[in-house]
Amino acid sequence: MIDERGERLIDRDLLVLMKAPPRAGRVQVAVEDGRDTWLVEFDTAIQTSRRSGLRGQLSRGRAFAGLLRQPLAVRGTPVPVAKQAGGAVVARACVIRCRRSVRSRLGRGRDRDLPRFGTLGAQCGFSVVQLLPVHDVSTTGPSPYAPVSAFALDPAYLSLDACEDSWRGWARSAAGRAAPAADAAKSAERVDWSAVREVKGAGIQLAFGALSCATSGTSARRAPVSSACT
Amino acid sequence: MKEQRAWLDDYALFSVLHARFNASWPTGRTVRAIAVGRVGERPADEHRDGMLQVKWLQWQLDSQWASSAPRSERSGVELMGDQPFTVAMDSADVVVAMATSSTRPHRASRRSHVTVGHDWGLPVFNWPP
Repeated sequence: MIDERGERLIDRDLLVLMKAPPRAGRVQVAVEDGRDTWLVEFDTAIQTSRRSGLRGQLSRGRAFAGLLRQPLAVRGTPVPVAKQAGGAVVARACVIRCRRSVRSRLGRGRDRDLPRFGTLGAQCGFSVVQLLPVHDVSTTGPSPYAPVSAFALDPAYLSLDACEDSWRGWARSAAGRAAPAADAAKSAERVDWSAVREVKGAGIQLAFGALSCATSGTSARRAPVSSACT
Repeated sequence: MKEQRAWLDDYALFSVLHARFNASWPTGRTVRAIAVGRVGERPADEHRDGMLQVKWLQWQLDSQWASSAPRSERSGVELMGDQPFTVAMDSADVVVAMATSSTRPHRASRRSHVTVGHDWGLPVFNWPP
């Protein structure tokens, strides 16, 4: 990846996390090997064993990284395409799930999972982890190309466990009530993004409802919230 | 939070009204509701709790992102997000523009001069002539 001054921003390996595609398919990506650019095809139907956990993701990540570093070994016939200015390698890695996420009722969200995955990426030789998309598309469907705001972040990424200390208890309570639906979503063979979003939304609703009830009679506790948000 | 009011208030109001009307496209009713809700820069009481939840959520998301980035860097990788190249037709930005001005964004026609590719229904800018 090259910045506007022509300087290399990142190293050769770039891992891109994208939301799970609604249907399995093949993605073609242009990959430079220093001399030529190759057209590399990826299968987006990445199957993950339920019991593989983080260790399985780690080995899968290494395999993926190795795949990217050797364009000639990629399945399919390499086809030279037009030269590109950048040298980044982009891969689609679906949504990362680990054992801690499964134990946690509503997932740890990016606050906890992303730094852990960063460590994993560093071990695999990656220098950048990019999350796509980060903007809110919650009201328009699963398409990442339909942001409902140029600024708002996607609520699906919220880690309820990592909310402010004073709300953590309510968040955990809410997460417990939404546990059956969350467990069903997480036990699916493939990531059901709509189900995850629905469960996370219910958890957020419950957590904020609990916050409102708990602070409705004590204006002193709610005052900082209202003051900060209005 | 107050520093983000330029977009956050409108986004919160849009989110609340969007959920109420369950609309998937800007309609006259939603646009009028946004316009009414923004009167005097003070939303109606009936929207206040809903908007508070939306703002609280964005506050938490921003805080969590801000804490994740340096922790990821310490682990050896840089954390990046992305920038949407445009917003959807059914978005806070477009609906608020329709509610507060005579702007009427329109989507690119499938039968325009572009003969290949996808029609994502995205609004196009109404550049001055």
